[in-house]
Amino acid sequence: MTRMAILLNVNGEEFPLDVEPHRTLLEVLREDLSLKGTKANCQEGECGACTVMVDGLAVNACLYLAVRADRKRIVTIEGLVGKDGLHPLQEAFVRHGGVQCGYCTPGFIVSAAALLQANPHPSEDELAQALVGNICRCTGYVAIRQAVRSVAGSQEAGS
Amino acid sequence: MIRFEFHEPASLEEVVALLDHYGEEAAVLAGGTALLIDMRHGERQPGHLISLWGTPQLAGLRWNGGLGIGALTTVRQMADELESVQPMRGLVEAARLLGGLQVQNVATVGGNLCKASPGADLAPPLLVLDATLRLRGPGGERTTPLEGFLTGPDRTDLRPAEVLTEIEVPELPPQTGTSFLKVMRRHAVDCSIVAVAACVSLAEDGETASQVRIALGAAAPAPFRAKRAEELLTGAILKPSLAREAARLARDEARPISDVRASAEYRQMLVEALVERAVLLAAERAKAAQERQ
Amino acid sequence: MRVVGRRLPRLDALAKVKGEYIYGMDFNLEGQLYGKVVRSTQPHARLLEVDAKEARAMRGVRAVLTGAELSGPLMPGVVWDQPLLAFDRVRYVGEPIAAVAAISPELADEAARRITVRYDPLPALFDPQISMQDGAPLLHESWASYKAEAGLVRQGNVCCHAALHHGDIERGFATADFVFEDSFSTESVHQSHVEPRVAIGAVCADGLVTVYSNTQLPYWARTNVAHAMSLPEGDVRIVLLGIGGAFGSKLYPQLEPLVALLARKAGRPVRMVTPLEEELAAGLPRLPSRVTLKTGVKKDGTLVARQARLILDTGAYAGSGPEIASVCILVLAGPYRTPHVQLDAYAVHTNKTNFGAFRGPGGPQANFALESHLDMVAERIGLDALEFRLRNIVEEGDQAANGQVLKGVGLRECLEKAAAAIEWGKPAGPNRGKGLACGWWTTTGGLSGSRARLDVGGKIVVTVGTQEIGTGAIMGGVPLVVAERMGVPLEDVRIVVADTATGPWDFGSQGSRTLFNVGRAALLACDELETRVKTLAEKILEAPADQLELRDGGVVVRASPEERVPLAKLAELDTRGELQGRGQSYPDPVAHDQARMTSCLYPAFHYPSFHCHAAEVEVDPGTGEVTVLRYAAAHDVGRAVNPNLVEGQIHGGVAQGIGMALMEEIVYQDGRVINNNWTDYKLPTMADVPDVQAIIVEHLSEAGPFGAKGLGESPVIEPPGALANAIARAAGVRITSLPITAERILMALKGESSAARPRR
Repeated sequence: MTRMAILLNVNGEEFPLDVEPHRTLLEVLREDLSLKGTKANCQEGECGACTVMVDGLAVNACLYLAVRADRKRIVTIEGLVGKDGLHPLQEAFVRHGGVQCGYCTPGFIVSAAALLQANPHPSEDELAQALVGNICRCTGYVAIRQAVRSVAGSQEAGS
Repeated sequence: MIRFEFHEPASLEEVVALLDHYGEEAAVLAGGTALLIDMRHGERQPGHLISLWGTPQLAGLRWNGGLGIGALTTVRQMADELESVQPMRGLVEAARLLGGLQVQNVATVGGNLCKASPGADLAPPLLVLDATLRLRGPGGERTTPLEGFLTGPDRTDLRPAEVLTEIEVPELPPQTGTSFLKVMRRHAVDCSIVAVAACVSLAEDGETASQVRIALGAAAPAPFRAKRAEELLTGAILKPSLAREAARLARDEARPISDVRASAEYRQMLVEALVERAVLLAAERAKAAQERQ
Repeated sequence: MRVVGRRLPRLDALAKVKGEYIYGMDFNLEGQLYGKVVRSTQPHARLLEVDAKEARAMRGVRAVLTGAELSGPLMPGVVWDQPLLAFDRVRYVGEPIAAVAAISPELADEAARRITVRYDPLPALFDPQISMQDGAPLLHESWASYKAEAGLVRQGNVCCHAALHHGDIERGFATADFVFEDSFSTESVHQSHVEPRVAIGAVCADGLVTVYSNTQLPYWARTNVAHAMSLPEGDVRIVLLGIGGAFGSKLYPQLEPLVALLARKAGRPVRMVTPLEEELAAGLPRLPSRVTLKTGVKKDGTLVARQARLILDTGAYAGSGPEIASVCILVLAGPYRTPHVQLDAYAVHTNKTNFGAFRGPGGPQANFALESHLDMVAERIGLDALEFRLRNIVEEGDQAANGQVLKGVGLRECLEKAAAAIEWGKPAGPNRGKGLACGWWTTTGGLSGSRARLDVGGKIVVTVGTQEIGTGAIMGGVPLVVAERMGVPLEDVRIVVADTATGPWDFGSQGSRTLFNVGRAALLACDELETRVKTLAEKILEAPADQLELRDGGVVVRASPEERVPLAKLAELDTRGELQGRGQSYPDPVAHDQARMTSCLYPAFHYPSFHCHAAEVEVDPGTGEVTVLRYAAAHDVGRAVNPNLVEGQIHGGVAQGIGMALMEEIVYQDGRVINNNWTDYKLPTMADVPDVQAIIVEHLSEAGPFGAKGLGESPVIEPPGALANAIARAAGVRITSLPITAERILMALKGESSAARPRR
């Protein structure tokens, strides 16, 4: 099985890797780069726990081949740091009770960060549209909406 | 075990050549969202993936009277670029309802059509826009209408080693409105139980429908145009009672199945309800287009 | 109070938002092998042969286990009827038959595929109403010889018949002005935690076993592993990994005994994850139910008599069925004054996965039926649904149907507030309707232990024996309780979740018990710690203990607080390691009238909570689609230790309830689950759940930490009833089966019967 040489740019750092083409970005992030913050389960793009940003767009890493991620700008939850060590979304999720078991949290925060980067002042509909691909079984989404709303429209939203 | 060789050729000719060379062993990688799932379920086991991403010229929208949608355009990109193009509203609505954003960011227009699910959400809106497909194969290029290209569940008229390169939408008459309605088992991110697209163009008098097209998804082995319903409405004034009658015709044209999502009977009821609404909505939008002029 | 009652952050929130929290899914051991379960493809069959020769010979396969070599064994439970691996018979599609361990997950999958199984199919039963009839084929031929809990009434395919009889039901119906009878049904729904089930087993040279697991019940896992391996429990250690959601699914040690046995055989650690398609097909989802309710009522709306016959499909093995049947009895009794009740619940076997405890087990099934039925009764006698309930609900000091005396009854307030929140009296618009449902639930008891010590730097370190499952009880509630009690800021509290070798015994994170019991145990540990702290402080402050007080991270003389010694200083001076305490919470069983009940393993609700949900919906008359416009849920939680956590439980429970009410269903066809993936088994998304209004009501419990009562489960109980009642008013049709899908509604509107769908 031929391995392919790729260069992954993850959270601003470059990683030259040799990967078999069938490996997904999710597997490579978690297993080869030990970045466990991006979570795994359904393997069919239904739960969104594996959401990462590729060139600013939220994607399901479980359905994204690692070889396709060559030379793209990948951002995971580990890369979402702000001025004081926390991204405003991370801080908001803590404050508003948007974290219970927390397994869906990295995926949600990355999806929300991608939204706010592109659209700092989303409408309620745009907010929902951006986040319906992330499933939470604990919070009922109420506190998550509150957390994202609190950041949207604030000065730091676009960072 | 999922194992394949990965090829990313830099030209369309090479894509075709590789598809030709590997034949049944090859699969095209566009968005990959459907392909990877099929591979995990053992439904497809290609030994060679031919990526289209080395030929990014296959992505993008091009206006030249009509609209050319590169097959590799992501669903998201297409929706964003057509957001303010009023006559394309139905197509944009379908794109925005195609899975969550994570899927829209990666799945492609061409991929959605070539996967040919009976519920392929982009098929009905493109059918009512009278889309044509541009294909490239070992024998050269050909064009074929989208209508008739989708032949059954997961089946298309794609010939061996052929690649879909572009979807062409002809120029629309000035007073045109489109709509797309979809019923799911929840309020977002689901396959259609039934989907309906409509396109209505009004004549110069602003009242008569000069052209009406209606397409149904998830209501037959492949998405299709409800021709008898269209005939009733073409050249007529679209009163609600007429729309209702057309909806009944469309219901009878549908051949839905019962599956884990819904029964055939329910799907027929939905066809009726949605066709009536989709037609009237498209007509309303056509009127609004006229008023804007 | 200083910290209790405030919306302070959870101790685990930071790690979770940064992606640093370690869940079971994130944990690996160096040199581990990967395990895979081989599962039955037949719903009911004799196992003729399990041929693992080819698998054993594969390069990279290090261990294979079959039921034959283990002779089962039959695992502990209320009824000891289920083998760890099937060895003579299989009773459901998905039942584990064998397990393999290999050097990669793909090899393990491949090896599992190469194990061939020969079956001799037997007639399969899929309908509990049929399997409970005389003459139905026995699913457990040796049922009578199984070890079972004392007092359990069981016969053949009925593994429990629980009953509560009080008063004289026939006289009740005779004295009623009206008698109404209605029937209801619910299907199975799956917990669908976003993190899978994971376990890693390791056996060291001296034979001691360690299993790392994201279990909710570490000590129950230990019991099962020890039993499977024929070891004393003390030779087994369960290490608690982070849990990414559980909802009752991770109560069951499905993987722990297998990874331990494989690890022993292979001589290397073995890791197993249950993939989603297996979890949805062969996990332990909610028990399906069929219930007929008959009510006798006076024309003024006074309830006189209630009779219920509830049949629960418990699947192939008893599991939690008997307990759940008993719980259902209490839910069917409801928080209503009813002099004559005759409630019978049956847990019956079928050839499907053995269903299990999903958050509030039995609750939504029974409550949906009762609350729908009562609405229908109210409508028939011309009474407003809210008014009807207010006339009949229990009040403080009343006896419940099982004879227990009710204290801390906040139900009236819940009803009034929930109804007001959706403007109950104001008519809903066209195609819209409002509905409500109320209920009661338990705060499970059981033993929890805790230790507290004053550590260097003045930190209060509290050790507990069970894991945070997401509710916040362990990482959000207990810390506040301790901080309040010890007079320290929240930042000075540390929670250590210990393993079963080093920690205090705990009945586990389940049954709405965690904050109540672990909190109580922690408080008792703090009591002892405080005594010892003051003993030391007495010497320094030269004042007797009864004049001293814990305040602001130190000990002060109450009358002159400038005389103070910081806790950090005391910790420094504690050269004999005396500044620690321990506590155990084991609530007394609730007094009730045993004579009224037979075969009820769960005869009373401890420190019950009371709740009412109110919903407003819109139904699209052309498609049947339901939109939940407004939703208010009032819960009497005793004391809201942290309102964020309380609201979070309510929001989340309502969302799961919306799922069960409108869209979730495990679909069977000839004994096979056909929708075991999240494409076909639909969970509510953000677009399906409105901004639920959580209304906190506080009627203190006598025994809970600062008066708290359990909350984790109750919010899933009322949504199906509240939504069914709202939909009935919005659409004008009454659907008595869950899920209330758009299809069912539209079919009912068009006067057609439930459509033909692939079923059972």
